[in-house]
Amino acid sequence: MEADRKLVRKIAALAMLGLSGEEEAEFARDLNIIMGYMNRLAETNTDGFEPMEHVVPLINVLRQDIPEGFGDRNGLIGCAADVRDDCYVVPSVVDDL
Amino acid sequence: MSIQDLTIKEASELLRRRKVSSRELTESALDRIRRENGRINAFITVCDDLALSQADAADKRLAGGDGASPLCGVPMGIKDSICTRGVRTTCASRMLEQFVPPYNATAVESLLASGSVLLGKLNMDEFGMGSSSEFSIFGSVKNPWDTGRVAGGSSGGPAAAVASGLCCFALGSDTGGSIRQPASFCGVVGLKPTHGLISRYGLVAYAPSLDQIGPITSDVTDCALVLDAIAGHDPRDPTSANREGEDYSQGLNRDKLPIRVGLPREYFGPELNKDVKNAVFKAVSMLEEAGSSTGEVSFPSTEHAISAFYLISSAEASTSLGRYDGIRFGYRKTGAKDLEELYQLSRSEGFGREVKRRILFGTHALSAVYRDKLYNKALRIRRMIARDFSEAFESFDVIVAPAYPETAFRMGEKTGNPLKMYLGDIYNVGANLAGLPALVVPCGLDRRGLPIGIQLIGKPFSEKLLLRAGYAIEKRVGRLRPPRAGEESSEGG
Amino acid sequence: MEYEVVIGLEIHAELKTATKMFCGCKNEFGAKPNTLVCPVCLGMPGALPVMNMAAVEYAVRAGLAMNCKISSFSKMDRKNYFYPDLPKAYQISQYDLPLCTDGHVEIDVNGKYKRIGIERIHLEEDAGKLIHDAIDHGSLVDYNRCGVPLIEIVSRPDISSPEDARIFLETVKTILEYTGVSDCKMQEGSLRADVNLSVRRPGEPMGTRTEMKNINSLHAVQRAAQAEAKRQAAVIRSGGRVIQETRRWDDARKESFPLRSKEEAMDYRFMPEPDLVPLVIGQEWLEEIRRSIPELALSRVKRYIDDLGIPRYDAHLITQSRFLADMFETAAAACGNPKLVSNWIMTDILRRINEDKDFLAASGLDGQNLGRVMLLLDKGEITPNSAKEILDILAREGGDPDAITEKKGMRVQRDQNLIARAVEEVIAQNPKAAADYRAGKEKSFSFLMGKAMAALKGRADPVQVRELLLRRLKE
Ligand SMILES: [Mg+2]
Ligand SMILES: [Zn+2]
Repeated sequence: MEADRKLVRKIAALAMLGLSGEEEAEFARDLNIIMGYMNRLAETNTDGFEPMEHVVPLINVLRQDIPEGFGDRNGLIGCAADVRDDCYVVPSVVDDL
Repeated sequence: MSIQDLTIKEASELLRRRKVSSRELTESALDRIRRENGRINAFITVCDDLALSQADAADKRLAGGDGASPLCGVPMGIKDSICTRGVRTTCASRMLEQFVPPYNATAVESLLASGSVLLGKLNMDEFGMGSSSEFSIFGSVKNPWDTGRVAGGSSGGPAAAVASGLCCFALGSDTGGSIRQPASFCGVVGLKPTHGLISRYGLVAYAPSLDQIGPITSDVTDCALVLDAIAGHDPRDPTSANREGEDYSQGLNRDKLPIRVGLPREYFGPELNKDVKNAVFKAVSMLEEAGSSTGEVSFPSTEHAISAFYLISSAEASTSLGRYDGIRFGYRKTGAKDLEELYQLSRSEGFGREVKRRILFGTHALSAVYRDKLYNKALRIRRMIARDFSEAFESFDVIVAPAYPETAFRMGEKTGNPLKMYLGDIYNVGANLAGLPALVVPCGLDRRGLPIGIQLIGKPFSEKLLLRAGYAIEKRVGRLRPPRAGEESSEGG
Repeated sequence: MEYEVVIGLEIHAELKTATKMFCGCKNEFGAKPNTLVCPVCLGMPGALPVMNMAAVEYAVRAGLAMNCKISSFSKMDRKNYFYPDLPKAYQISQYDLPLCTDGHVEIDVNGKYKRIGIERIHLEEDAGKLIHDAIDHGSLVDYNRCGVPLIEIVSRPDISSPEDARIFLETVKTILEYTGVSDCKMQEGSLRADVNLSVRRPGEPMGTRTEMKNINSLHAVQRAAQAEAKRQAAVIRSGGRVIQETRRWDDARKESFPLRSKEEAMDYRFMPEPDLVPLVIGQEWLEEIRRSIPELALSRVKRYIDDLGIPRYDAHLITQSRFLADMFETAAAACGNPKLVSNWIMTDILRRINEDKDFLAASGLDGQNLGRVMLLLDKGEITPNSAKEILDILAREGGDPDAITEKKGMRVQRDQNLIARAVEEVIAQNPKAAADYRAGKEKSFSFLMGKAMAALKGRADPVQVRELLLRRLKE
């Protein structure tokens, strides 16, 4: 169970979710149950079946390179909780990757 | 007759003959929402003023005479996962509680262009993740047939609103049964169209390769009328099908329906409730009565459908929901001391338990170590399931399935056990994984008097055939209406 | 040499499309913050990306120009990570099926041709811009750049010196400019390079590599590589071990610094982009794109050297810009003396370009009229001074070189009598100089020659003047 909680902590960090201790325990338990059920999947032979990422048989759906503005800029920026000088505000970021 | 129980077709005829105005219809619907919504909790947001001004505009159009769509002046509700310009779109989440999109979903745009009147936004499971509409920050949706029971989910609000006559019709969205199961629980018609038939632009993503918008209506004819208005190519959705339009509402009533109906052996096992099984079989016999032939078919990959579905949908959700970071829109934790804290707290406070559970599960399924074993494996199973269907369609035109193993369950019955909740979707997820159209039509009541739906799954873009088959059943079953206990008591008091 | 350097570059180039990769917002530098945005590039709920056809074609063009195989089937993927400049928390990029693979670029290192392998070129979207410390305890984000199409060019670790790294980047830059794929404005960040570098003793397997990100000048790449090679060698020499990490190159301080190691967090959880359908580049489309690619710089360099006798150094300078190279070729064809044209480009034209980098674009001078000026000069119809003057006029207001020559009376004087008269006058007016020359003072001859040319307003054939002057002085 401790291993599961460690895993949950690692996943939560990737997913940027801050979890309480109680949530961590709950999700560790659920993950255990769900993964237990899904283990059967791993044993299934899927030889000859390519991964299917799309159900639509479409290719090359492209647009012409022609400008089209959105117009309602206030409507967009208005959705943000913190805006200054027409920019979105975030806490200081120093590491520039 | 009560105005609220009108179908689109009936309302449209009254509007055309000027027996009633859209304003009257709309006012009466708003009034009913005021009285009834407390009991059902189907609406999250009601936009009185907007609705009335749209109704007036519709009345003008109707007065102008011909050319108006059958939807003109007809009041509707939209699931709160579908963006409406200027009307807050919450996905039943704290994350989007204050979110007012500056754009419409394409489907909404089409309906508004037809002259439909937007009454408001409908309750659901947060971000579409659930099968009971209990995971909503606005509280659970109650089943109009028995308010101690769930309305189904995630489109519980749309199904309950249509069943209880709070709106003439509604749009829902379906990722793994989210239109069909609540339609079945509430005794209304619900269609999950072929993937790509209806633009997803403006539908807040849960799992893009599975999500589809679809109508929830009182009857099959209405379903076809709504489909007529919203189906079609949209250049803003690259997965939208570019094909010639069809007239879905024409020729629904057929004397003879000589189609081949397939019953998957795996769908009628011991987990299926007896009343549901009997009602579905009875509906199949109605199709036979109309001239169809019936045969058995096997879907050996059914046992993996739930696993594949939850892996794929959670994986897609985990990345699709990354954008909720508190910066450009949505809930933002104030006073975060650094960037990481802003992300972590905004997200953990903005999302509910079930959403977090699926994000975590999906993140796990995509992580470098597990991607091949989990996510990619699920994509292979997906192809296997799609092949099961396409092989079946060599011998059959329509596959019949229950919409759910049982009728509406009690509030709280499954919320503590996620796996149990997931397993219920077994008959629904196949159509999403394979991108197929699937229609749910009421086909009877169980011994408690709760509605049962039959599911008809078809080949890609065979909506018209499904609607004809659904019509044949509906004609024989008749329209189911929930008891109006709440209404009577409030009127009596 | 004690250590060998092994370098690979990852080059990000913004594509010169009119609009962004997945929406109709303008792809433009320098606009007011957050004015070139829409629901799609802000990653708003429900918005969907639609791929820009020009971006695909530009990427394929770049791939063809770098001798890549163009994948007939390719798809987009989501690369997931959280950062404020990345609105969707994923970058739409390409993971396992990039558009272009297995190419190479030939570079010219002082006459020695080397081949640098290109592992892949893939399409992806750019991120927004963070304005650091613009406010107390906070940064500001501008999403105008967000969603601008990029190609990422990944070289093989075939580069064996910091200088070669610079030349490789320069060559790639020229290719992208020739093909019109990118304007490669490094100072605006539209071309940036990551340097992957390791060192090893000759014959040993590859060492541990480090990565320096987002270097945005040609020389900074060379300097960063030099410094990093030196640093790694010093680490090993002192018995240490190079650790795999990402470093930031500070070109002002000529030093690199380790960035916080994020090895644990760098799980990008790649997933095929469900909102976008695959790309299938058919033969016909491919050929159409191939036809849009001009002859590239290095091929021209070789041709200029081998066929036209132009010095290597000159050939490189002239081909650095496609515009200039095209101008050269047109002028050389019009004049028939490529060396003369190249000499004039190397001196006169490049000086003008150095004084004003937009000179060529704004000027009335083009290959055709430059060639005709050179032809007049080559035939001795005008003097070099006149040629300069005509070029000035052409640059300012354009026009016809022959007409200008006539109008300004610049045609070289060939009338024997006229020249003889001028020579006689000069000797008569400068008796002392004439006497000095006759007495053996060679220097006086150039003085008299200068006077004679001046009397003829510089428009006589100097050979003719010299001949006549000598003859008269010796009489
Ligand atoms: Mg990249
Ligand atoms: Zn945009």
